[in-house]
Amino acid sequence: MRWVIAVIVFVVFLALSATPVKQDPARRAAASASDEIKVFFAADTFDAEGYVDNIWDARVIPYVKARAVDLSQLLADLRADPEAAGERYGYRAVAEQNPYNFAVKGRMKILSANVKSRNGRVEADIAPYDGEADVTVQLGPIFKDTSIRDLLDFVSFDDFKNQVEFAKLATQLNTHAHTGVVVPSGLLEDGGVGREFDFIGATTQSSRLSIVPLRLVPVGE
Amino acid sequence: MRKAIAMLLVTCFALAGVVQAGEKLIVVITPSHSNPFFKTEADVAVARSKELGYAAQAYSHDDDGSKQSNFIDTAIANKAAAIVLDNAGADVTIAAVQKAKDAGVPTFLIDREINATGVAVSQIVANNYQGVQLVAEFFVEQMEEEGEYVELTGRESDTNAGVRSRSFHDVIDQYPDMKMVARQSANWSQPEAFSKMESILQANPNIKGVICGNDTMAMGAMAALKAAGKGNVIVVGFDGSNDVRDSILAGEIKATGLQPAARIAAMAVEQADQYIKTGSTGLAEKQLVDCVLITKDNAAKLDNFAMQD
Repeated sequence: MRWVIAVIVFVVFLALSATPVKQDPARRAAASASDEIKVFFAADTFDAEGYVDNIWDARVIPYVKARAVDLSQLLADLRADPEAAGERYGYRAVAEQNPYNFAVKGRMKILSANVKSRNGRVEADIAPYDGEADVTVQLGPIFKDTSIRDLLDFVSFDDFKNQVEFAKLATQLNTHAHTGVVVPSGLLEDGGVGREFDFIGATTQSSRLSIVPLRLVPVGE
Repeated sequence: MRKAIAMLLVTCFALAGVVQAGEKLIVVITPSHSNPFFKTEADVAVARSKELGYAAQAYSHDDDGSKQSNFIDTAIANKAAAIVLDNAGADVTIAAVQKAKDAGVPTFLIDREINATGVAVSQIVANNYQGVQLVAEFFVEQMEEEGEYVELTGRESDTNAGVRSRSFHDVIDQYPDMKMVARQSANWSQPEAFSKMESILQANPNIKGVICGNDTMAMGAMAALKAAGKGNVIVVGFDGSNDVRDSILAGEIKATGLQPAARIAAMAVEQADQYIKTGSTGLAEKQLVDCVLITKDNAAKLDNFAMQD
Protein backbone atom coordinates (compact mmCIF):
# COMPACT_ATOMS: atom_id res chain seq x y z
CA MET A 1 0.00 0.00 0.00
CA ARG A 2 2.75 2.41 0.97
CA TRP A 3 4.50 2.06 -2.39
CA VAL A 4 1.21 2.71 -4.19
CA ILE A 5 0.99 6.06 -2.45
CA ALA A 6 4.62 6.73 -3.25
CA VAL A 7 3.95 6.05 -6.92
CA ILE A 8 0.92 8.34 -6.93
CA VAL A 9 2.91 11.12 -5.27
CA PHE A 10 5.69 10.65 -7.77
CA VAL A 11 3.30 10.73 -10.76
CA VAL A 12 1.60 13.87 -9.47
CA PHE A 13 5.02 15.43 -8.95
CA LEU A 14 5.99 14.55 -12.52
CA ALA A 15 2.76 15.98 -13.89
CA LEU A 16 3.22 19.22 -11.97
CA SER A 17 6.84 19.63 -12.91
CA ALA A 18 6.00 19.02 -16.57
CA THR A 19 3.14 21.52 -16.71
CA PRO A 20 5.09 24.75 -17.34
CA VAL A 21 6.84 23.15 -20.32
CA LYS A 22 3.52 22.06 -21.75
CA GLN A 23 2.17 25.56 -21.72
CA ASP A 24 5.10 27.08 -23.54
CA PRO A 25 4.47 26.57 -27.27
CA ALA A 26 7.96 27.66 -28.31
CA ARG A 27 9.67 25.20 -25.99
CA ARG A 28 7.32 22.46 -27.04
CA ALA A 29 8.03 23.04 -30.71
CA ALA A 30 11.74 22.89 -29.97
CA ALA A 31 11.30 19.68 -28.01
CA SER A 32 9.29 18.11 -30.81
CA ALA A 33 11.92 18.99 -33.39
CA SER A 34 14.53 17.14 -31.37
CA ASP A 35 12.20 14.14 -31.06
CA GLU A 36 12.17 13.83 -34.83
CA ILE A 37 13.05 10.41 -36.16
CA LYS A 38 15.59 10.84 -38.89
CA VAL A 39 16.09 7.32 -40.04
CA PHE A 40 14.08 4.21 -40.64
CA PHE A 41 14.05 1.60 -37.96
CA ALA A 42 16.17 -1.47 -38.52
CA ALA A 43 19.09 -1.16 -40.92
CA ASP A 44 18.77 -4.24 -43.02
CA THR A 45 21.49 -5.81 -45.04
CA PHE A 46 19.44 -7.91 -47.46
CA ASP A 47 20.65 -7.37 -51.03
CA ALA A 48 17.35 -7.61 -52.90
CA GLU A 49 18.87 -6.47 -56.16
CA GLY A 50 21.54 -9.17 -56.13
CA TYR A 51 18.99 -11.76 -55.09
CA VAL A 52 16.65 -10.91 -57.96
CA ASP A 53 19.49 -10.67 -60.51
CA ASN A 54 20.42 -14.21 -59.52
CA ILE A 55 16.99 -15.76 -59.88
CA TRP A 56 15.31 -13.75 -62.65
CA ASP A 57 16.58 -15.52 -65.79
CA ALA A 58 17.59 -18.73 -64.09
CA ARG A 59 14.40 -19.44 -62.17
CA VAL A 60 11.65 -16.79 -62.38
CA ILE A 61 11.19 -16.71 -66.15
CA PRO A 62 11.33 -20.51 -66.65
CA TYR A 63 8.91 -21.00 -63.74
CA VAL A 64 6.40 -18.46 -65.04
CA LYS A 65 6.66 -19.82 -68.60
CA ALA A 66 6.08 -23.37 -67.44
CA ARG A 67 3.06 -22.46 -65.34
CA ALA A 68 1.48 -19.83 -67.58
CA VAL A 69 -2.19 -20.36 -68.35
CA ASP A 70 -3.83 -18.77 -71.38
CA LEU A 71 -5.31 -15.54 -70.01
CA SER A 72 -8.53 -15.70 -72.04
CA GLN A 73 -9.09 -19.21 -70.67
CA LEU A 74 -8.38 -18.05 -67.11
CA LEU A 75 -10.78 -15.11 -67.45
CA ALA A 76 -13.56 -17.42 -68.63
CA ASP A 77 -12.89 -19.98 -65.89
CA LEU A 78 -12.71 -17.29 -63.21
CA ARG A 79 -16.11 -16.01 -64.30
CA ALA A 80 -17.55 -19.50 -64.12
CA ASP A 81 -16.08 -20.61 -60.78
CA PRO A 82 -13.38 -18.46 -59.14
CA GLU A 83 -12.50 -21.00 -56.44
CA ALA A 84 -12.12 -23.88 -58.89
CA ALA A 85 -10.11 -21.73 -61.32
CA GLY A 86 -7.87 -20.61 -58.46
CA GLU A 87 -7.26 -24.15 -57.35
CA ARG A 88 -6.60 -25.35 -60.88
CA TYR A 89 -4.26 -22.64 -62.16
CA GLY A 90 -3.14 -20.61 -59.17
CA TYR A 91 -0.65 -20.69 -56.34
CA ARG A 92 -0.78 -19.22 -52.85
CA ALA A 93 1.57 -19.88 -49.97
CA VAL A 94 -1.10 -19.45 -47.29
CA ALA A 95 -4.54 -20.71 -48.12
CA GLU A 96 -6.57 -18.80 -45.63
CA GLN A 97 -7.69 -15.25 -46.34
CA ASN A 98 -5.30 -14.85 -49.26
CA PRO A 99 -6.02 -14.68 -53.01
CA TYR A 100 -4.49 -16.98 -55.62
CA ASN A 101 -1.68 -15.79 -57.87
CA PHE A 102 -1.45 -16.77 -61.54
CA ALA A 103 1.15 -16.98 -64.28
CA VAL A 104 -0.57 -15.90 -67.49
CA LYS A 105 0.18 -15.64 -71.20
CA GLY A 106 -1.58 -14.44 -74.31
CA ARG A 107 -1.86 -11.73 -76.92
CA MET A 108 -3.20 -8.29 -76.12
CA LYS A 109 -4.15 -5.10 -77.90
CA ILE A 110 -3.80 -1.82 -75.99
CA LEU A 111 -7.03 0.18 -75.96
CA SER A 112 -6.11 3.04 -73.65
CA ALA A 113 -3.17 4.11 -71.51
CA ASN A 114 -2.21 6.23 -68.52
CA VAL A 115 1.55 6.63 -68.50
CA LYS A 116 1.54 9.92 -66.59
CA SER A 117 0.70 8.24 -63.30
CA ARG A 118 3.51 6.78 -61.25
CA ASN A 119 1.39 3.63 -61.37
CA GLY A 120 1.61 3.63 -65.17
CA ARG A 121 -0.84 1.21 -66.80
CA VAL A 122 -2.76 0.32 -69.93
CA GLU A 123 -6.18 -1.21 -70.50
CA ALA A 124 -5.97 -4.17 -72.85
CA ASP A 125 -8.24 -6.37 -74.92
CA ILE A 126 -7.13 -10.00 -74.72
CA ALA A 127 -7.24 -12.11 -77.91
CA PRO A 128 -9.64 -13.26 -79.27
CA TYR A 129 -10.45 -9.55 -79.54
CA ASP A 130 -13.90 -8.16 -78.91
CA GLY A 131 -13.01 -4.47 -78.60
CA GLU A 132 -13.58 -4.48 -74.83
CA ALA A 133 -10.84 -4.01 -72.23
CA ASP A 134 -10.45 -7.26 -70.28
CA VAL A 135 -7.55 -6.49 -67.96
CA THR A 136 -5.21 -3.77 -66.75
CA VAL A 137 -1.54 -4.23 -67.51
CA GLN A 138 0.72 -2.42 -65.07
CA LEU A 139 3.79 -0.61 -66.36
CA GLY A 140 5.16 0.95 -63.17
CA PRO A 141 7.42 2.22 -61.82
CA ILE A 142 4.96 1.73 -58.94
CA PHE A 143 3.13 -1.57 -59.04
CA LYS A 144 0.09 -2.15 -56.93
CA ASP A 145 0.61 -5.82 -56.18
CA THR A 146 3.19 -8.35 -55.14
CA SER A 147 2.01 -10.85 -57.75
CA ILE A 148 5.42 -11.92 -59.00
CA ARG A 149 6.78 -12.74 -55.55
CA ASP A 150 3.62 -14.41 -54.36
CA LEU A 151 3.46 -16.59 -57.46
CA LEU A 152 6.85 -18.21 -56.89
CA ASP A 153 6.57 -21.46 -54.96
CA PHE A 154 10.34 -21.57 -54.49
CA VAL A 155 10.36 -18.30 -52.58
CA SER A 156 9.19 -18.73 -49.00
CA PHE A 157 8.59 -16.14 -46.32
CA ASP A 158 10.38 -18.60 -44.00
CA ASP A 159 13.63 -17.79 -45.77
CA PHE A 160 13.52 -14.09 -44.92
CA LYS A 161 14.31 -12.36 -41.70
CA ASN A 162 11.12 -10.35 -41.58
CA GLN A 163 8.43 -8.61 -43.61
CA VAL A 164 10.73 -5.72 -44.50
CA GLU A 165 13.11 -8.03 -46.32
CA PHE A 166 10.27 -9.96 -47.89
CA ALA A 167 8.68 -6.69 -49.06
CA LYS A 168 11.97 -5.53 -50.51
CA LEU A 169 12.06 -8.71 -52.55
CA ALA A 170 8.58 -8.02 -53.97
CA THR A 171 9.49 -4.43 -54.79
CA GLN A 172 12.71 -5.48 -56.47
CA LEU A 173 10.96 -8.12 -58.58
CA ASN A 174 8.52 -5.44 -59.74
CA THR A 175 11.35 -3.01 -60.39
CA HIS A 176 13.09 -5.66 -62.46
CA ALA A 177 9.93 -6.07 -64.55
CA HIS A 178 9.73 -2.32 -64.98
CA THR A 179 13.31 -1.73 -66.04
CA GLY A 180 13.88 -5.01 -67.85
CA VAL A 181 10.54 -5.48 -69.60
CA VAL A 182 8.43 -2.32 -69.66
CA VAL A 183 11.11 0.26 -70.39
CA PRO A 184 12.51 -1.60 -73.43
CA SER A 185 8.98 -2.02 -74.82
CA GLY A 186 8.76 1.74 -75.37
CA LEU A 187 5.26 1.75 -73.88
CA LEU A 188 6.09 4.40 -71.31
CA GLU A 189 6.75 6.96 -74.03
CA ASP A 190 3.26 7.10 -75.53
CA GLY A 191 1.25 4.28 -73.95
CA GLY A 192 1.24 2.35 -77.24
CA VAL A 193 -2.50 2.57 -77.90
CA GLY A 194 -3.37 0.27 -80.82
CA ARG A 195 -0.22 -1.83 -80.52
CA GLU A 196 -0.33 -5.58 -79.99
CA PHE A 197 1.95 -7.67 -77.80
CA ASP A 198 2.45 -11.30 -76.94
CA PHE A 199 3.03 -11.38 -73.22
CA ILE A 200 3.67 -13.49 -70.19
CA GLY A 201 2.93 -12.02 -66.80
CA ALA A 202 1.93 -12.43 -63.18
CA THR A 203 -1.37 -11.50 -61.60
CA THR A 204 -3.35 -11.86 -58.40
CA GLN A 205 -6.96 -12.91 -58.14
CA SER A 206 -9.34 -9.95 -57.84
CA SER A 207 -12.55 -8.68 -59.38
CA ARG A 208 -10.50 -7.14 -62.19
CA LEU A 209 -7.15 -8.67 -63.01
CA SER A 210 -4.11 -6.46 -63.08
CA ILE A 211 -1.13 -7.98 -64.87
CA VAL A 212 2.56 -7.34 -64.19
CA PRO A 213 4.36 -8.18 -67.44
CA LEU A 214 7.45 -10.40 -67.43
CA ARG A 215 7.81 -10.52 -71.21
CA LEU A 216 6.40 -8.24 -73.92
CA VAL A 217 7.00 -9.11 -77.58
CA PRO A 218 5.52 -6.72 -80.18
CA VAL A 219 3.31 -8.40 -82.78
CA GLY A 220 3.68 -7.57 -86.49
CA GLU A 221 6.15 -4.71 -86.11
CA MET B 1 9.59 -7.25 -6.72
CA ARG B 2 8.48 -8.30 -10.20
CA LYS B 3 9.72 -11.81 -9.58
CA ALA B 4 7.82 -11.95 -6.35
CA ILE B 5 4.63 -10.91 -8.11
CA ALA B 6 5.20 -13.47 -10.84
CA MET B 7 5.74 -16.19 -8.24
CA LEU B 8 2.59 -15.12 -6.49
CA LEU B 9 0.67 -15.30 -9.77
CA VAL B 10 1.96 -18.79 -10.48
CA THR B 11 0.89 -19.91 -7.03
CA CYS B 12 -2.53 -18.30 -7.39
CA PHE B 13 -3.24 -20.01 -10.68
CA ALA B 14 -2.03 -23.33 -9.35
CA LEU B 15 -4.29 -22.98 -6.32
CA ALA B 16 -7.26 -21.66 -8.24
CA GLY B 17 -7.44 -24.93 -10.15
CA VAL B 18 -8.26 -23.19 -13.41
CA VAL B 19 -7.27 -26.30 -15.25
CA GLN B 20 -9.47 -29.27 -14.64
CA ALA B 21 -7.92 -32.70 -14.55
CA GLY B 22 -7.28 -34.01 -18.05
CA GLU B 23 -8.01 -30.69 -19.71
CA LYS B 24 -5.10 -29.28 -21.69
CA LEU B 25 -4.18 -25.63 -21.34
CA ILE B 26 -3.55 -22.97 -23.97
CA VAL B 27 -1.94 -19.79 -22.67
CA VAL B 28 -2.62 -16.59 -24.64
CA ILE B 29 -0.20 -13.68 -24.15
CA THR B 30 -0.69 -10.34 -25.90
CA PRO B 31 0.10 -6.65 -25.42
CA SER B 32 -2.21 -4.55 -23.27
CA HIS B 33 -5.92 -5.17 -23.65
CA SER B 34 -6.49 -1.42 -23.41
CA ASN B 35 -5.92 -1.47 -27.19
CA PRO B 36 -9.05 -3.18 -28.61
CA PHE B 37 -6.91 -4.88 -31.25
CA PHE B 38 -5.11 -6.96 -28.65
CA LYS B 39 -8.24 -7.49 -26.60
CA THR B 40 -9.92 -8.99 -29.66
CA GLU B 41 -6.95 -11.27 -30.26
CA ALA B 42 -7.05 -12.51 -26.68
CA ASP B 43 -10.84 -12.90 -26.57
CA VAL B 44 -10.98 -14.82 -29.83
CA ALA B 45 -8.02 -17.06 -28.97
CA VAL B 46 -9.53 -17.93 -25.59
CA ALA B 47 -12.97 -18.55 -27.08
CA ARG B 48 -11.59 -20.75 -29.88
CA SER B 49 -9.48 -22.71 -27.39
CA LYS B 50 -12.55 -23.44 -25.29
CA GLU B 51 -14.54 -24.46 -28.37
CA LEU B 52 -11.81 -26.96 -29.19
CA GLY B 53 -11.92 -28.37 -25.66
CA TYR B 54 -9.00 -26.64 -23.99
CA ALA B 55 -8.70 -24.58 -20.85
CA ALA B 56 -7.38 -21.13 -21.67
CA GLN B 57 -5.70 -18.29 -19.80
CA ALA B 58 -5.00 -14.79 -21.15
CA TYR B 59 -2.23 -12.48 -19.99
CA SER B 60 -0.89 -9.12 -21.11
CA HIS B 61 2.84 -8.44 -21.26
CA ASP B 62 2.34 -4.69 -21.88
CA ASP B 63 5.18 -4.78 -24.44
CA ASP B 64 7.62 -5.53 -21.63
CA GLY B 65 10.08 -8.28 -22.53
CA SER B 66 10.77 -9.36 -18.96
CA LYS B 67 7.08 -9.48 -18.12
CA GLN B 68 6.60 -11.62 -21.23
CA SER B 69 9.37 -13.91 -20.06
CA ASN B 70 7.67 -14.28 -16.66
CA PHE B 71 4.37 -15.26 -18.26
CA ILE B 72 6.14 -17.81 -20.42
CA ASP B 73 7.70 -19.24 -17.24
CA THR B 74 4.22 -19.41 -15.78
CA ALA B 75 2.94 -21.22 -18.87
CA ILE B 76 5.79 -23.72 -18.65
CA ALA B 77 5.20 -24.22 -14.91
CA ASN B 78 1.50 -24.82 -15.58
CA LYS B 79 2.44 -27.41 -18.23
CA ALA B 80 0.64 -25.54 -21.01
CA ALA B 81 0.03 -27.57 -24.15
CA ALA B 82 0.67 -24.48 -26.28
CA ILE B 83 1.30 -20.75 -26.08
CA VAL B 84 -0.37 -18.27 -28.43
CA LEU B 85 1.72 -15.10 -28.35
CA ASP B 86 1.56 -11.61 -29.81
CA ASN B 87 5.12 -10.85 -28.84
CA ALA B 88 6.87 -7.98 -27.09
CA GLY B 89 9.75 -7.49 -29.53
CA ALA B 90 11.27 -9.15 -32.59
CA ASP B 91 14.62 -9.79 -30.89
CA VAL B 92 13.84 -9.92 -27.17
CA THR B 93 11.23 -12.64 -27.75
CA ILE B 94 13.52 -15.19 -29.40
CA ALA B 95 15.08 -16.45 -26.16
CA ALA B 96 11.73 -16.63 -24.36
CA VAL B 97 10.14 -18.72 -27.10
CA GLN B 98 13.23 -20.92 -27.26
CA LYS B 99 12.93 -21.49 -23.50
CA ALA B 100 9.35 -22.68 -23.96
CA LYS B 101 10.39 -24.91 -26.85
CA ASP B 102 13.16 -26.46 -24.75
CA ALA B 103 10.57 -27.16 -22.06
CA GLY B 104 8.37 -28.90 -24.64
CA VAL B 105 5.82 -26.10 -24.95
CA PRO B 106 5.19 -25.05 -28.59
CA THR B 107 4.58 -21.38 -29.34
CA PHE B 108 2.29 -19.99 -32.05
CA LEU B 109 3.02 -16.36 -32.83
CA ILE B 110 0.31 -14.03 -34.07
CA ASP B 111 0.33 -10.54 -35.55
CA ARG B 112 4.01 -9.72 -35.09
CA GLU B 113 6.91 -11.85 -36.26
CA ILE B 114 10.28 -12.43 -34.62
CA ASN B 115 13.71 -12.22 -36.24
CA ALA B 116 14.25 -15.97 -36.18
CA THR B 117 12.74 -19.09 -37.65
CA GLY B 118 12.75 -22.62 -36.24
CA VAL B 119 11.92 -21.45 -32.73
CA ALA B 120 8.16 -20.95 -32.88
CA VAL B 121 5.98 -23.54 -34.62
CA SER B 122 3.93 -20.93 -36.52
CA GLN B 123 4.27 -17.22 -37.14
CA ILE B 124 0.94 -16.02 -38.49
CA VAL B 125 1.70 -12.49 -39.55
CA ALA B 126 -0.72 -9.90 -40.86
CA ASN B 127 0.74 -8.60 -44.11
CA ASN B 128 1.34 -5.11 -42.77
CA TYR B 129 3.36 -4.10 -45.78
CA GLN B 130 0.59 -5.01 -48.22
CA GLY B 131 -2.14 -3.48 -46.06
CA VAL B 132 -0.31 -0.20 -45.54
CA GLN B 133 0.37 -0.03 -49.25
CA LEU B 134 -3.39 -0.02 -49.87
CA VAL B 135 -3.85 2.73 -47.29
CA ALA B 136 -0.94 4.73 -48.72
CA GLU B 137 -2.32 4.54 -52.26
CA PHE B 138 -5.69 5.75 -51.01
CA PHE B 139 -4.02 8.53 -49.01
CA VAL B 140 -2.11 9.76 -52.07
CA GLU B 141 -5.34 9.74 -54.07
CA GLN B 142 -7.16 11.75 -51.39
CA MET B 143 -4.26 14.21 -51.24
CA GLU B 144 -4.50 14.55 -55.04
CA GLU B 145 -0.82 13.56 -55.13
CA GLU B 146 0.43 16.77 -53.47
CA GLY B 147 0.76 18.68 -50.22
CA GLU B 148 2.32 18.70 -46.77
CA TYR B 149 1.81 15.75 -44.49
CA VAL B 150 2.90 14.38 -41.12
CA GLU B 151 3.79 10.85 -40.08
CA LEU B 152 3.18 9.38 -36.62
CA THR B 153 5.03 6.10 -36.22
CA GLY B 154 4.68 3.33 -33.66
CA ARG B 155 7.10 2.08 -31.04
CA GLU B 156 10.55 1.68 -32.51
CA SER B 157 11.30 -1.73 -30.98
CA ASP B 158 8.28 -3.16 -32.79
CA THR B 159 8.98 -4.59 -36.24
CA ASN B 160 5.53 -3.57 -37.41
CA ALA B 161 6.31 0.09 -36.74
CA GLY B 162 9.22 -0.14 -39.15
CA VAL B 163 7.34 -2.24 -41.70
CA ARG B 164 4.42 0.18 -41.82
CA SER B 165 6.58 3.26 -42.06
CA ARG B 166 8.63 1.70 -44.82
CA SER B 167 5.55 0.68 -46.73
CA PHE B 168 3.95 4.12 -46.45
CA HIS B 169 7.11 5.69 -47.83
CA ASP B 170 7.66 3.12 -50.56
CA VAL B 171 4.40 4.41 -52.02
CA ILE B 172 4.26 8.08 -51.02
CA ASP B 173 7.90 8.94 -51.75
CA GLN B 174 7.25 8.12 -55.40
CA TYR B 175 5.15 11.28 -55.62
CA PRO B 176 7.49 14.28 -55.80
CA ASP B 177 4.85 16.81 -54.69
CA MET B 178 4.05 14.99 -51.46
CA LYS B 179 6.10 16.68 -48.76
CA MET B 180 6.60 15.23 -45.27
CA VAL B 181 7.07 18.11 -42.79
CA ALA B 182 7.28 16.12 -39.53
CA ARG B 183 7.84 12.52 -38.52
CA GLN B 184 7.61 11.42 -34.91
CA SER B 185 6.94 8.33 -32.86
CA ALA B 186 3.81 8.43 -30.73
CA ASN B 187 4.48 4.88 -29.48
CA TRP B 188 1.11 3.53 -30.64
CA SER B 189 -0.53 5.73 -27.99
CA GLN B 190 -3.67 7.83 -28.40
CA PRO B 191 -2.82 10.52 -25.79
CA GLU B 192 0.74 10.74 -27.07
CA ALA B 193 -0.52 11.15 -30.65
CA PHE B 194 -2.85 13.88 -29.42
CA SER B 195 -0.09 15.91 -27.75
CA LYS B 196 2.46 15.35 -30.55
CA MET B 197 -0.11 16.35 -33.15
CA GLU B 198 -0.90 19.50 -31.16
CA SER B 199 2.72 20.64 -31.13
CA ILE B 200 3.37 19.62 -34.74
CA LEU B 201 0.39 21.73 -35.78
CA GLN B 202 1.89 24.81 -34.13
CA ALA B 203 5.00 24.53 -36.27
CA ASN B 204 3.16 23.36 -39.40
CA PRO B 205 -0.26 25.01 -39.64
CA ASN B 206 -0.72 24.14 -43.34
CA ILE B 207 -0.59 20.38 -43.23
CA LYS B 208 -3.07 18.60 -45.46
CA GLY B 209 -2.66 15.02 -44.30
CA VAL B 210 -1.50 12.72 -41.49
CA ILE B 211 -0.42 9.10 -41.84
CA CYS B 212 -0.54 7.06 -38.64
CA GLY B 213 1.08 3.70 -37.94
CA ASN B 214 -2.01 2.50 -36.10
CA ASP B 215 -5.61 3.38 -35.35
CA THR B 216 -5.20 4.57 -31.77
CA MET B 217 -2.70 7.18 -32.95
CA ALA B 218 -5.08 8.14 -35.78
CA MET B 219 -7.80 8.71 -33.18
CA GLY B 220 -5.43 10.90 -31.12
CA ALA B 221 -4.30 12.89 -34.16
CA MET B 222 -7.88 13.38 -35.38
CA ALA B 223 -8.96 14.64 -31.96
CA ALA B 224 -6.10 17.17 -31.88
CA LEU B 225 -6.90 18.33 -35.41
CA LYS B 226 -10.58 18.76 -34.57
CA ALA B 227 -9.68 20.68 -31.40
CA ALA B 228 -7.59 23.02 -33.58
CA GLY B 229 -10.46 23.51 -36.05
CA LYS B 230 -8.71 21.40 -38.68
CA GLY B 231 -11.08 18.47 -38.88
CA ASN B 232 -10.81 18.41 -42.67
CA VAL B 233 -7.17 17.24 -42.63
CA ILE B 234 -6.87 13.81 -44.28
CA VAL B 235 -6.03 11.26 -41.56
CA VAL B 236 -5.41 7.57 -42.17
CA GLY B 237 -4.62 4.79 -39.72
CA PHE B 238 -4.01 1.06 -39.60
CA ASP B 239 -5.59 -1.90 -37.67
CA GLY B 240 -9.28 -1.65 -38.48
CA SER B 241 -10.68 -0.80 -35.04
CA ASN B 242 -14.34 -0.07 -34.34
CA ASP B 243 -13.36 3.42 -33.14
CA VAL B 244 -11.83 4.28 -36.49
CA ARG B 245 -14.71 2.60 -38.31
CA ASP B 246 -17.11 4.96 -36.53
CA SER B 247 -14.88 7.93 -37.28
CA ILE B 248 -14.79 6.96 -40.98
CA LEU B 249 -18.57 6.61 -41.05
CA ALA B 250 -18.82 10.06 -39.43
CA GLY B 251 -16.70 11.49 -42.25
CA GLU B 252 -13.62 12.21 -40.12
CA ILE B 253 -10.75 9.70 -40.48
CA LYS B 254 -10.57 8.70 -44.16
CA ALA B 255 -9.19 5.17 -44.18
CA THR B 256 -7.56 2.34 -42.30
CA GLY B 257 -6.23 -1.10 -43.11
CA LEU B 258 -7.96 -4.03 -41.45
CA GLN B 259 -5.66 -6.63 -39.99
CA PRO B 260 -7.85 -9.67 -39.64
CA ALA B 261 -6.87 -10.04 -35.97
CA ALA B 262 -9.86 -12.16 -35.05
CA ARG B 263 -9.22 -14.72 -37.76
CA ILE B 264 -5.47 -14.78 -37.15
CA ALA B 265 -6.00 -15.51 -33.45
CA ALA B 266 -8.40 -18.33 -34.32
CA MET B 267 -5.97 -19.72 -36.91
CA ALA B 268 -3.22 -19.86 -34.28
CA VAL B 269 -5.40 -21.89 -31.92
CA GLU B 270 -6.49 -24.22 -34.72
CA GLN B 271 -2.87 -24.79 -35.73
CA ALA B 272 -1.93 -25.37 -32.09
CA ASP B 273 -4.73 -27.94 -31.83
CA GLN B 274 -3.51 -29.67 -34.99
CA TYR B 275 0.06 -29.64 -33.69
CA ILE B 276 -0.90 -31.00 -30.27
CA LYS B 277 -2.86 -33.83 -31.87
CA THR B 278 -0.54 -34.77 -34.74
CA GLY B 279 2.86 -33.22 -34.02
CA SER B 280 2.68 -31.00 -37.11
CA THR B 281 0.60 -28.13 -38.46
CA GLY B 282 1.20 -29.24 -42.04
CA LEU B 283 1.92 -25.59 -42.89
CA ALA B 284 4.96 -23.36 -43.34
CA GLU B 285 6.12 -21.66 -40.16
CA LYS B 286 5.80 -18.11 -41.43
CA GLN B 287 2.41 -17.31 -42.89
CA LEU B 288 1.45 -13.91 -44.26
CA VAL B 289 -2.23 -13.02 -44.13
CA ASP B 290 -3.58 -10.20 -46.29
CA CYS B 291 -5.14 -7.01 -44.92
CA VAL B 292 -8.16 -5.13 -46.31
CA LEU B 293 -8.52 -1.41 -47.12
CA ILE B 294 -11.37 0.15 -45.12
CA THR B 295 -12.97 3.38 -46.38
CA LYS B 296 -16.46 4.85 -46.10
CA ASP B 297 -17.51 2.38 -48.85
CA ASN B 298 -17.09 -0.74 -46.71
CA ALA B 299 -16.61 0.52 -43.14
CA ALA B 300 -20.16 -0.42 -42.14
CA LYS B 301 -19.27 -4.10 -42.58
CA LEU B 302 -16.36 -3.96 -40.15
CA ASP B 303 -16.85 -5.22 -36.62
CA ASN B 304 -14.33 -6.38 -34.01
CA PHE B 305 -11.47 -6.76 -36.50
CA ALA B 306 -13.44 -8.84 -38.97
CA MET B 307 -15.56 -8.12 -42.03
CA GLN B 308 -19.15 -9.26 -41.58
CA ASP B 309 -20.79 -10.63 -44.71
